[in-house]
Amino acid sequence: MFSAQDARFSGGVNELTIITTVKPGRPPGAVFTYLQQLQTVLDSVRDRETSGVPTPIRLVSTIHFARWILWNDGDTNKLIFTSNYDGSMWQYLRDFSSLIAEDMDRVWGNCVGYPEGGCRDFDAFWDYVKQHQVETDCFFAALPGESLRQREALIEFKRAFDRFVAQQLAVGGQDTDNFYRQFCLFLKQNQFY
Amino acid sequence: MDIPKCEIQLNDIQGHVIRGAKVAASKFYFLVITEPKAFADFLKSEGFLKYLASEQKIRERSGAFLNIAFSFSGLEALGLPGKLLGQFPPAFREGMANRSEFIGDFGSDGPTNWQGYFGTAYIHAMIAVHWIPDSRSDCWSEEQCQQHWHAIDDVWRFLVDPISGAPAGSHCLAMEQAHVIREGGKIKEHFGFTDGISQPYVNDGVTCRSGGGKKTERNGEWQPLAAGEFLLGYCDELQLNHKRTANNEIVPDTLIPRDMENPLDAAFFELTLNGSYMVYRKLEQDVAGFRKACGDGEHGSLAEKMVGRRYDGTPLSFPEYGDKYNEFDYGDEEQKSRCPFTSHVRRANPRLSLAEGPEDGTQLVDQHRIIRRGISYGNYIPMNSNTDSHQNMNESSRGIHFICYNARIDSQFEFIQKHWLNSSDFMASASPVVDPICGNRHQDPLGMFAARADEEPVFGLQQYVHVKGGEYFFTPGLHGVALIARLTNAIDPLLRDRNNIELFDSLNSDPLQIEKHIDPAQLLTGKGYVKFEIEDDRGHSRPYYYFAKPEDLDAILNAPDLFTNDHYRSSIMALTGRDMLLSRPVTKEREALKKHLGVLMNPAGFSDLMQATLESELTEISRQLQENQSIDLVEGIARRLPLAVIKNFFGVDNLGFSGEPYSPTEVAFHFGCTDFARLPSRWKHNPKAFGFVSDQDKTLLFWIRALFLEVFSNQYKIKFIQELAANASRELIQKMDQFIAGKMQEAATSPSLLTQLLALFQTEYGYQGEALVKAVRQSLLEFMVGSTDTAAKGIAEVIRTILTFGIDMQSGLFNLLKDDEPSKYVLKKWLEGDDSPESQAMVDAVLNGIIITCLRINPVAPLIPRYCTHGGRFVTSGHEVLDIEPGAVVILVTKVTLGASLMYKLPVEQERFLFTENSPHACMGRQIAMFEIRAAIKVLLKFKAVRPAAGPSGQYREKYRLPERMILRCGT
Repeated sequence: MFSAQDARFSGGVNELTIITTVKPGRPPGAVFTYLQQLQTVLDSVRDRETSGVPTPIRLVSTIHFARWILWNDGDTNKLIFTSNYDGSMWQYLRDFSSLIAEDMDRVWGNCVGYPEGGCRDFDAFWDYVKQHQVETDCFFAALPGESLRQREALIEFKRAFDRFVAQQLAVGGQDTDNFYRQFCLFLKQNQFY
Repeated sequence: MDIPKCEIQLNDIQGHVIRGAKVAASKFYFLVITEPKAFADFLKSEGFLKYLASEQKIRERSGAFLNIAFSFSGLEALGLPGKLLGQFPPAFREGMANRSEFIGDFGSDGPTNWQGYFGTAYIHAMIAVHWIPDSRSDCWSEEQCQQHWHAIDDVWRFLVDPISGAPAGSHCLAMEQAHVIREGGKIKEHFGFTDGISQPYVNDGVTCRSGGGKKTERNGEWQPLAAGEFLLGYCDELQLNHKRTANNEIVPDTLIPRDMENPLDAAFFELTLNGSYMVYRKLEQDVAGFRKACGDGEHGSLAEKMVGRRYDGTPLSFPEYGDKYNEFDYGDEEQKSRCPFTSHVRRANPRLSLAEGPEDGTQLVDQHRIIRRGISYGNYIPMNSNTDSHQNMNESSRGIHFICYNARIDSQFEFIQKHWLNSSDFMASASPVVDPICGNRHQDPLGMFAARADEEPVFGLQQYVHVKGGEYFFTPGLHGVALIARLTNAIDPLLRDRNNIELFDSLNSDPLQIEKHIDPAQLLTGKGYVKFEIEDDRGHSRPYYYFAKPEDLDAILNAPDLFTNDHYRSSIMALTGRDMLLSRPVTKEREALKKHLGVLMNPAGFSDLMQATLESELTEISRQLQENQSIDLVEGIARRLPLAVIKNFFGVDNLGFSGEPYSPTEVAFHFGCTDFARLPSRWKHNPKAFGFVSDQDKTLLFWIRALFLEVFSNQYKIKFIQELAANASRELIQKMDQFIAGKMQEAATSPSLLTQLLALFQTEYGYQGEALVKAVRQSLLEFMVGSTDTAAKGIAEVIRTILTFGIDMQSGLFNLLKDDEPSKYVLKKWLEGDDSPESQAMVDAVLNGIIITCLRINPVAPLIPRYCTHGGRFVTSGHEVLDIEPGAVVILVTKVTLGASLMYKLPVEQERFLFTENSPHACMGRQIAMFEIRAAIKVLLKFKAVRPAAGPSGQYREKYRLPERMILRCGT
């Protein structure tokens, strides 16, 4: 059920790499092969993200980066998955299980050995991931102390600040009392950031 | 609503875990297990089992009962099978101290600063003895508290060995006593708030408990959480959800279906069934500081906002329903606006706060709940007491023993701690808005608390709750305790290192990592040597021979014509342009010079001279330990004593750095390069901005180390080290030559080695001018390189080895002496303060024996290489005739203890392989090194409970096979 090693941490940022084998052939009665099915799912994720429609991946608010690579090693087709995220690997996978289980199943359901109960069967899913995990030897994170949420919040704050500056400059030449009132208002609205 | 009943095994779960008992007082005993078998017998004893009550039994009585829990290192110490231990999850295996950075215990809350043995691998088990009084009281008086504790003491006396005061086979490293605070009929914590109201509502067979459970939809009813969130072996929320979707109906909340075919799974299931992980933290509360900043008078409401409840317990979000109300859920705007998002109770259990959709329930919270069993310690200061008593508050410490139970440490306790209390992520906030009550304010120098988005924040708050220690424990079920006792298996600490031996692969294996491929015990018996071939990718091969028998080592070292050390010569010539004594062929001249130098290194009154040499450093080490209760074994002790020898004995006291101490190569090395000129400009011009720190002493030690690494340790011929050493020795030699030339001009004042070398080479060998400078420099370099890093490593290896044998220096030494009663007596006398010359001499002899033993276990030079350049015949002590090929490498393996063959008594003539005069290391510095190691042991013995610090900083670390860091702590 458990493995000795969690993934490699740097501060609060963590990584995960797994390599799985795509099932050869096609499901009973289907025309699309497992590989084609998988390709379709990945294409759809990519297309939605590029056209600005959020995908379920966004429900897991700790993912910085994720990538899927389909790779043919001569004999078999492999699915390589790497991801960078905040927090522990255990929690990250539980998030998969509880938040985006069906979407996970749509991807890895096309791979050999994936649990029959899908990723909601967490123990089986965890075993599956640990079996296929490739341990990282060196992991670099430029800002290990900063989570995705914090970065988003900082960006939001900078936008609010720029808006405030723009408004004040637009009004121009006002008295300091008024400016101070506006500034206090700005602080109140943005102090959580 | 009909809730499926859960059949949990109440007669097997330890009492006070899943259901709270009405405990008034507790004492927590933290134990180190020294004799596993005896401790296992204790676990089976009637007396112990009498008080180890199940949840079922505890309902039926008042009086005393106990809980027992084991840390991971405790289960290891009991010798449970490794494969079984391997099943435990990572967080528990690592322990709280090693997870500290991750969960937010750093700075002054970091494990290096924790009290006593908390966080170290010595805390093996915790026994908590609790007292349930017959009657309730509105307020426990001091007298009643004492009575309760006395009652616990009586039970403890009944359980333990009367002499050691701990259960058989163990020692008590710490005892913490605690008592529930009652005021006006309510349970309080020290800041004055009513405590213990909110607990998770667990599906444990008892219905009708309010609040604290889960909601599957916003307007639904509270439902119980799966028992598997808190007990092992049962389905948790995620598994229940899975079963629900699979069967499309609600299934009762029962044991996890298991594949009992797999014996390992079955065994682990049996071990953990009905158990739970217990998180223990000793949290000290700064009541005076808290009340001064936010608790008194007009600021009273600030404290309540920070907590999220009124002092009497009434939730801020729902004040209408009174002080024990727990059914609120932050579900509507009104509740949300009344209770600050950042308040403690809301962060620790956000209920519906995190629900994203209008229909959503508590799904995002259900997997992050804990059962709290904390209890306060220290005198309570009532809320209305005057400020005078605030001044008295600092005289004694007070706080809470935080205890919680959960089934997954990392997604429950750690998740709450890291993500909800110590981070602002879940509020999408970029500034460090930590929990105002128990967050780590280390990253928040402004001390901010913002109650509402449209209210001005408060600044200047401090951290009022401090972590003083903690550990992750496993609380087994009753059956689990019995199983642990049955599986206990005493292990010889020396056998632990012995791993599976791998086959040697001639193309890919590392001939210097022979521990992987040879069981050294095998080298000591039977044929007594092992031969491997290493091969390169062009098919050229080279034989490696390994010897470990002392007689063979002796013979090989004494046959320099057959087994050469040419490799030392070539690196010494390359780096310094001249020979050293070590690298010269054996001639009459060499032997004469060796004799001369030997006299200089071992002058009359050697002991007094060394004592004077080290005196000021030893005083300084004592002072630091006294002041900080901690020191770095490597930088603080091991490297300092050899440095004192260089300065005070050799006379290389000031290499004449003008202004900024500066070695360009040292700067390059800081950035992982060898050549300063090739560094990027921004690093070159302002290395300090990138963490480079050095001074005269550090620079000197760096130069010597670089030289040492290349000459003695670079058996792989790593180019990086070659270049580093070349650049460093160029700098060093230039400084040395200037320095020696300067000394020649001065009249000889002090009788240092340097002045005597000048005299020797002048009078006996007739050197003058530059030739004299070079001769003296070469000798000095040899002494420095040969005696600095080897001695430092010797000190570090011996002390860390002693510490693996006991809970501190003293117990480690006594355990190493085993049955040697005379030596124990000598040591005891000395420790009691007998510092007569006889006692000193005897204790030195005892310590010499200890040092030899430790260096057999962890030698300074585990492998000594020799080259059989021209080939030849060698007859081993086992009368085997070996025709050794030209170019063969012969490796002397000094680490002979990985097998079961540690002989505590070694013939004196064989001791020298460990720290030998003949071996290239410590050329002529053996007795200096022995003196330094003894001095280091003695200075540490002057302090109580010297031990490795908790957490990563206390672990022995090496770089380039030289010691790098190990923080030691002392005192309580």
